[in-house]
Amino acid sequence: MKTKNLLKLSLITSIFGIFLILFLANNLEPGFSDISSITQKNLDDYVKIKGNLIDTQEIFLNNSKYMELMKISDGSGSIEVVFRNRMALNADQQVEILGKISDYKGAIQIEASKVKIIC
Amino acid sequence: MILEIIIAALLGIIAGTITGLIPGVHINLVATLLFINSTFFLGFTNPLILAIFIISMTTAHTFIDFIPSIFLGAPNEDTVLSILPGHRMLLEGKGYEAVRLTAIGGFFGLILACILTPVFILIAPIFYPLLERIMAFVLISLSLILIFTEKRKFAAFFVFILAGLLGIGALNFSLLKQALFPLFTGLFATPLLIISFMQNVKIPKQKITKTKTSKKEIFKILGIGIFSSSLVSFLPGVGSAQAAVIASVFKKIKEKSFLVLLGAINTLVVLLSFVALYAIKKPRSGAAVFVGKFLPDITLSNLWTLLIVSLIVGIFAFFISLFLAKKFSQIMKKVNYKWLCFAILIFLVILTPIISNWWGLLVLATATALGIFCSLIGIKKIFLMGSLLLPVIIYYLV
Repeated sequence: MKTKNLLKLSLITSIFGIFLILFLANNLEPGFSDISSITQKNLDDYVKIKGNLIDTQEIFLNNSKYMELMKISDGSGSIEVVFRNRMALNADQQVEILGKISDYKGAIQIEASKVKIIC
Repeated sequence: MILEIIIAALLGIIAGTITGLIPGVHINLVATLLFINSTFFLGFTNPLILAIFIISMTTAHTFIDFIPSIFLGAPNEDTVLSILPGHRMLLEGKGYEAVRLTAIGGFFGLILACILTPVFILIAPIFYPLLERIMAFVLISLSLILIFTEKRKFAAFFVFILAGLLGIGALNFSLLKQALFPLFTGLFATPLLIISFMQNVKIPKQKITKTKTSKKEIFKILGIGIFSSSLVSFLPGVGSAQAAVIASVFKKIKEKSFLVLLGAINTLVVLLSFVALYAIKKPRSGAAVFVGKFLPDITLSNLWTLLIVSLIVGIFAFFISLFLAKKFSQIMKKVNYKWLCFAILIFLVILTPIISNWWGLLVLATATALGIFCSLIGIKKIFLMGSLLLPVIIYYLV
């Protein structure tokens, strides 16, 4: 294949692929998981959970930002969730969380990228 | 206790050599398996010994992982920038020397990390909050310096932005696992393999050569290494790759010196992440996360034990990497490089869905196309690091 054609093909493929990946990243999400099924084996995986907010706490970070620290329960278990943003949340609200499983001082937590209040 | 330490260190060296040699097999995988089975292991040993295994494996890995990157063009995220200078040296018959340079850098990195530990323990808690505030500014400035010092500024900016958008998409793709594997394999490894295959590149007979580097040059490189590694070692989301980009802003670094620098950065960043675990109580690498699990209240004495073991393991890993580089140099004479490239390409394509699931193939294909585009228009591969820099800049800005 001529270099010019390969150049065109690689540019078109990369631009099309990038926009497809951006679209899919925004629109595809994993299915719901039970909190009890989340273990250390799932570190760095994304999960989606639905549950009741047992506790919420707004923390002011030293870099002029806020972090929301939540505890979510879904009947099968409970888990800590951190969200690097400010949200008006109250205990007993039902929420949907999408985020990455991480470890904080030996305990599993979810670093949320999306938090949706259901009711 | 001493016997247990020696056994853990030896097993760590073996594990680190294996993970370093096989592209796609990360030390975090072994550390996770160790952690999952830790109840069993803690039945006959103590947490410090498990932490010693992890640091030995990590140290050995940082020396050995340059070998597949230089000889096979198959890097991991810490060694991507060694591909091009390493491959150029391989084509000059100096693959062994390229590995030797990274190993020298790695060993200096180990010594420096040990010497600087008391300083970092003192200053890290003070500078950490400041660094966190200025990190986005530092990375934006560095990206702009890189772009504006390139001859073809628009093309460099275009590639940087495309790579950045790809990085944002891949790293936020919730159905994709281990997104860095297909991303970096596609951007840096597969384009090189495809182009080598298409151009029927022949590898010359490999010579066992040694270049002398002046003391002044070594001091300059290590100074840059300390500066860039200490900027990234205490912060989340940044690591060896960003440190290498920071270092590459210093234009007057020769190609061979750059390999020494990469070796030094690779070990410095890893070891300083253990110092960060003690100094600011935050793990800043996968290996440090697991050491933090085994030693949640890590003491100064624990830290020094780990660093001294790492230094001794480093001496062994240095010689193992030279031995393996010699073996690879001998093997390279006998193989048909064109078909070796093809075989590695197929191996990486098969490995992608195993590590990252099927969506990984989409990222791999897109990243490969962008990597080929970058090579064909003659823009330096460093601009493909936008794939990691842009998402990190956004992380620190938002």
